[in-house]
Order: sequence, then C-alpha cells, then structure tokens
Amino acid sequence: MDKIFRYLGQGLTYTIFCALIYYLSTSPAYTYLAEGQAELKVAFNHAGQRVEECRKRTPEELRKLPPNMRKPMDCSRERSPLIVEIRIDGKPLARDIYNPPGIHSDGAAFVYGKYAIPAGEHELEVELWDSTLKPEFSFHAKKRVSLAPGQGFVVGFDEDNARFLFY
Amino acid sequence: MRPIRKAGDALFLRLEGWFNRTFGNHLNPFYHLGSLTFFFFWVVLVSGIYVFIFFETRVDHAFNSVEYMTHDQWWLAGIMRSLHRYASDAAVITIFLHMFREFFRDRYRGVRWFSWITGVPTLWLVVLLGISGYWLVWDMLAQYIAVVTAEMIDWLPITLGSMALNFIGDQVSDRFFTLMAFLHLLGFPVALVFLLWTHVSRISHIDFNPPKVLAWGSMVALLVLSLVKPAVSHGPADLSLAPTVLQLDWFYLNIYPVSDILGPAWAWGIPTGVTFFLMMLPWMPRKKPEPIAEVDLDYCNGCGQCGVDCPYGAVTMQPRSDGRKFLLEPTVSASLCTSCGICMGACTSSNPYRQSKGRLLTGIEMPHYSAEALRKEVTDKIAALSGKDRILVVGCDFAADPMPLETSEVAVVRLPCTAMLPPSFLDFSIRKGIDGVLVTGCRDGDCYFRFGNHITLDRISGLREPRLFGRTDQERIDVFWAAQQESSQLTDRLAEFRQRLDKIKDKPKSPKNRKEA
Ligand code: HEM
Ligand code: SF4
Ligand code: SF4
Repeated sequence: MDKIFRYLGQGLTYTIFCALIYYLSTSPAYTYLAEGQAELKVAFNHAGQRVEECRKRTPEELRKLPPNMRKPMDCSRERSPLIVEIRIDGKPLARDIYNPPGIHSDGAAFVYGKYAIPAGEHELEVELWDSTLKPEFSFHAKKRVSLAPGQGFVVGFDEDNARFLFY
Repeated sequence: MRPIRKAGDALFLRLEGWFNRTFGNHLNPFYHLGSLTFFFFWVVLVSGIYVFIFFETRVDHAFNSVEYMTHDQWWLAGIMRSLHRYASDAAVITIFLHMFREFFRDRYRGVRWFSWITGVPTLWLVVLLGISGYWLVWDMLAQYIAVVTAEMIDWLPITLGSMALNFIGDQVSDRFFTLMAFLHLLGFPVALVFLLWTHVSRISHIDFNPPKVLAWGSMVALLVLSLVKPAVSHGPADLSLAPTVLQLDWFYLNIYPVSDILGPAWAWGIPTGVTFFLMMLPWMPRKKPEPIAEVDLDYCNGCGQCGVDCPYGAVTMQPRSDGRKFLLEPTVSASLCTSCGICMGACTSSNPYRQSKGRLLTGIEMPHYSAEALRKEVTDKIAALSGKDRILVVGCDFAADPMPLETSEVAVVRLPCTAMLPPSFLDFSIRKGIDGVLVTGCRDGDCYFRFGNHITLDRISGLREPRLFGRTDQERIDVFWAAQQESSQLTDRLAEFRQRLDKIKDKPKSPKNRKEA
C-alpha cells in the first residue's frame, strides 16, 4: 500500500514537472501585434547635412597650411541630427530625433522606428529633416497604402536618388 | 540576506522531506540537481545530433527541414526534436533549483565562492544556447527573435553598423543565420563544457550521472511529453509579415518581451544587474574565514585516508618531506578547505586512547577544534552526567540541533560535521561510562559537506577506514539523520533509543574487550 502511494507520488512529480515544462515553453502566449493591426517600420541610414556651411579658404590661409592639407574648402565635421515625422491620415503618429553617431557626431544616423497601426487603407506621410541650416523638411513623401492585418510595411530611404522608398 | 536564506532553506527542507517520502532519500531529485542537469544535457546532445542529420543550415531551407522532421518523420526525428526542446527546458528548471538550493543552504560563500562564481556564467551560456536554437527554426518566432536581438545589439554602443537593417524587407542574409548555426552547434556548447568542467573542478568524487532510476524516470517522462505534445514551429519566417501571437518559450525567450515593452536598455540592464548581483553574492556578507585543517607530520603515517575522505579535494598526498620512512604526506590547500573536519575523523591517529606528551596529537586536525579538545569535551561532559541511562549525542551544526537534548543524563557534543568524529571515540565514550551514543547529522543523502553522513555510517558499519573497533557493542550505538526542521523526530528517536538501552542494561558493555576484563 505504502509502495503504491510512493509510485503515485513519483508519477505525480513527473507529471507536474512535464506540465510545467510544456506550459512555460508555450504559454502564456505573447501578443506582439494585436489582431487587426499592421506594423509600420521606418528604417534606413542617412547622413545629415553639415551643421555649418563649408567656407572657401583664402589664398593666405591656404599658404599657411602644410602642403598636404591644402584643401580649398574648410568644412566642419559635425552633422545635423535627423528628425523623422510620420502622419497617418493627416494625424501625427511619431516625431523622432536621431543624433549622428561618432565622437565628432559625423556619422550617418540610423533611423529605426516601428509602429503598430490598424490594418486597412491609409494615407501615409513621411518627412525627414536633415539640416540645421534649413527651416523646413528636406524630404517629404505621401502614399496611399492598403495594409492587411499582420502585414509589415517598411519605409526606407534611397540615398542615391534622395527619396523615400516604400516596400 | 540571512532571513531570506533561512526562509528559503525551510521551504526547500519541507519540499525535500516530501520527496524523501515519495522517492526515498537516495532518489530524491533535489539531491541530484547538478547531475540531473548533466543528464538533460546528454539528452539534448544526443537528440541534437540526430536532428542535425536532417537540418539544413541555410536560411531558405531550414524551416522546411524542421517541418519534415516534425510531420513526415514524426515517429523519430519529430520525437528527437521534442526531446531536444523539452530536455533543454528541463535543464533550466534543474539549474535554477540547484542554484537556489546552494544559496539557501549557504553553500556558496567562503571557499565555495569558486563554484558559485563559475556557475553564474553558465546561466548566460545556457540561455544563449536556447536562443540560438530557436533562431535556427527560422519560423515567425525565430524572425521575432532575430529582429529583437538585432534591435538589442544596435542599442549597444558598439557601432558595427546597424544589425536590424538586415531584417528589413526581403533581403535577409545567410550571414547571421550561419553565425547562429555555428554558435548553437559548436561555439556555445564547447564554451559550456569548458565552463562546467571548471565549475566542478574543485570538488572531489563528483557524480556526473543521476541514479539510474531517476534518469530513466525523467527520460520516460520527457518521451511521454514529446509524444503527447510534440514540439512544433510557428509559420515560416516572412519579413513582409510582422509576428502576431507567439507561443514563447519563457525559459529561454523571456527577455524579448522585456525589450519590446520596456526597451533594449532594460533587456540588457536586468540580466546584467542580476548577473552582477549573483557574482557579488558570496561577499554580501562574506563568510568569516575558518581555520583550515593542519597536518602534524610527527603523527602521520602517510596512509592517505584523509585525502580519500576530503569531499573538496583539499588534501593532496605529496612525497614525504620529513625524512621518515613513509612515502607520502598530506598537504592541505587553504583555498579549498571548507573546515569540515572530515579529515580529522579519517585519521587513524585521531584515537582518544593515544597519549603523546600528555596530549592527544594527531596527523591532521582542526586548529579551532582539535582532537585533544574533542576528547576533553567528551570526557568532561560524560563525567558530569548523573542518572541511570547515560547517553552521549553527537550532532552537527547543519542539521537538527542536538543541544536542546542536553540533560543531566544526556551529554551533547556538536561538531561542524558528524564525520569529524573518529569512530574510536564511540568506543572510548562507552568505556568512559556512557550507556549508548546517538549519532545524528544531516538527512541521508544530503550532507552540508556532501558526504559526511555516508562516511560516518560507513565507518561505523565497518565499510570504510577507520572502522569502529570490532569489540564495540553496536547495540549501544544509534544513528539517526534529521534535518533542522526535524528536531521533534530526533527527540522521539532519543526516547526510543533510551528504551532499547534499558533492555540491555545488564549486558556487559564491551564483551570482547579482553584488556578491560
Ligand atoms: C549548467 C548548469 C550547472 C550544472 C550542470 C552544475 C553542476 C554541479 C555539480 C554536479 C555540482 C557538484 C554537486 C555535488 O556533488 O555536491 C555543483 C556544485 C555547485 N554548484 Fe553547480 N551546476 C550548474 C550551475 C550552477 C549555477 C548557475 C550555480 C550558481 C550560481 C551553481 C552553484 C554551485 C555551487 C555553489 C556548488 C558547490 C556546492 C558545494 O560546495 O557543496 N551551479 N554544480
Ligand atoms: S577540513 Fe574538510 S575540506 Fe578541509 S581538508 Fe579536512 S576534509 Fe578537506
Ligand atoms: S589520515 Fe592521518 S595518517 Fe593518514 S595521511 Fe592523513 S594525516 Fe596522515
């Protein structure tokens, strides 16, 4: 009798152990994107404009420089931060600032944002501001999109043609 | 720290008590958590090798190769896949129980810091091993892991370019996938083996395998689970889709929702903080250093029994240095000695009948509690007893406290470990006028110093050197193992023992002792 209880106890232990393993290896389920949502990602690399205009060096200045450093233009290294603004159906969705990396703040900033939006037809507007010297946004794009639930939609930037990409 | 440890220890002792009743002490899984972890790793290794035969380490073929195993060859590759997953999860449970247990039982400070410190990074490796494994399936879950890992890495101030951009659009490269496959199949396992070898390197007589019954039981349980609930994948990875509802393995992937919801700073910060905290634990507060065993070569014949019995490999036998005719002599390593005194109990010269210069000097003993001090305590306490049934109780610092048993008829001696007591002391006490000796200590199979209770019992039953003298009346010796919470059982046992002694009251104490006769 005692033995039976012991075996039952052991069986129960193994069962609890396995139940715990099975439960925690699948549950509780994690909802990354809720039902009826789609994901908009804005992701690209882009170097902002210089924070100061380049200046032409005068002939005297050039003469003072060692011969190997006589570049006609004097340019600061620092780049502007980027501001990315997104609007959906005319309503603002996000406005994010990305600072240029590097000790001298001279690298290309890496823009990366993800936003859950309801699936369906939308008018998507993206703007990028990349120069502290200009008061207005440098790039702008508007697109009608139709997003299926669970779809991932990406806004990138085509550096060569200086325009937004949608895919 | 102390109240937390006490509470945790009480909880574990209670649980373990229950398991002792259902499994028996020798099969209690709590006493084999380290070796069970090794066993689960074996299952993971063997099933992993089988699964690897069918697995294609290319990003565009991986998913289908796993699907093939799960559905077309469900009867073997599918089971192997499930075993591979569930045994890894089982290992996480046993590792954490093992860690908590060592902490609650206060076996992580002092010279044990080394085992503790080398245990902590295994947690990272095991988790990384699991994460890289889930990555290889290249389903929606893997995609989710890949993207969030990339975001987490991009957050770190190491500008290697952006990793997350690799998972944008349909341009996913084979590069990370191959890297993950390499890390999962070779990199992490090799590092883990090396680390585990270091982890146990300071402990002697390690049992890497759990008892067979326990191994078979777990194996059958995992097999049944694999058949009832086979491991399956999510849908295939597709970068034009976003993951929606995910069946996360919380044993391994818990950090990803943290990164999602709180951001990568938290996802790095929490594990880093926990790691740092765990690493500092042996010094918060630090265990007060205890004196280590000391060798006195004048009384050592180089028999090596101290080295055999030391559970921490702290005694090594080296060529004799004092010119005496013996081959070897013991040396004690200060960084390994836990001050348990088991070596003193092992040495044949720790014999209370011996006199040297008016003192009991022995080959190896504890400076803070020498063989001489032990003999004096035993002699004095016995002499102070009155009453008809006089009993000596020998207990230890880590089990049921014997001190409350002390009365005018019962003398109590408490040692760091019961195995510190040389068996000749039992005979000695009886000859000094005691009617019986009750030896008690940690629960069977669960000694604070790993094997103290086994060693004690083996010496008394004559299975191990130094043996209890054959002339000693075994009826006058009782052994009872009881944990801290089992004081009342210990009291009951003493009462029972007293009744048994009562029955043999008139028997001569040492019938075979010719000298005395
Ligand atoms: C990969 C997982 C691990 C395995 C397979 C493993 C295995 C083992 C084994 C077999 C022992 C010897 C136990 C004995 O025979 O008394 C041991 C001891 C120990 N382990 Fe682990 N361990 C693991 C992880 C950890 C972790 C994460 C920690 C804590 C952070 C830890 C802390 C300890 C300590 C403190 C001891 C020494 C106990 C003593 O000195 O009596 N281990 N481990
Ligand atoms: S006191 Fe314990 S750990 Fe130290 S040498 Fe002796 S047996 Fe080994
Ligand atoms: S047990 Fe005693 S006699 Fe034997 S080697 Fe150790 S110290 Fe020397």
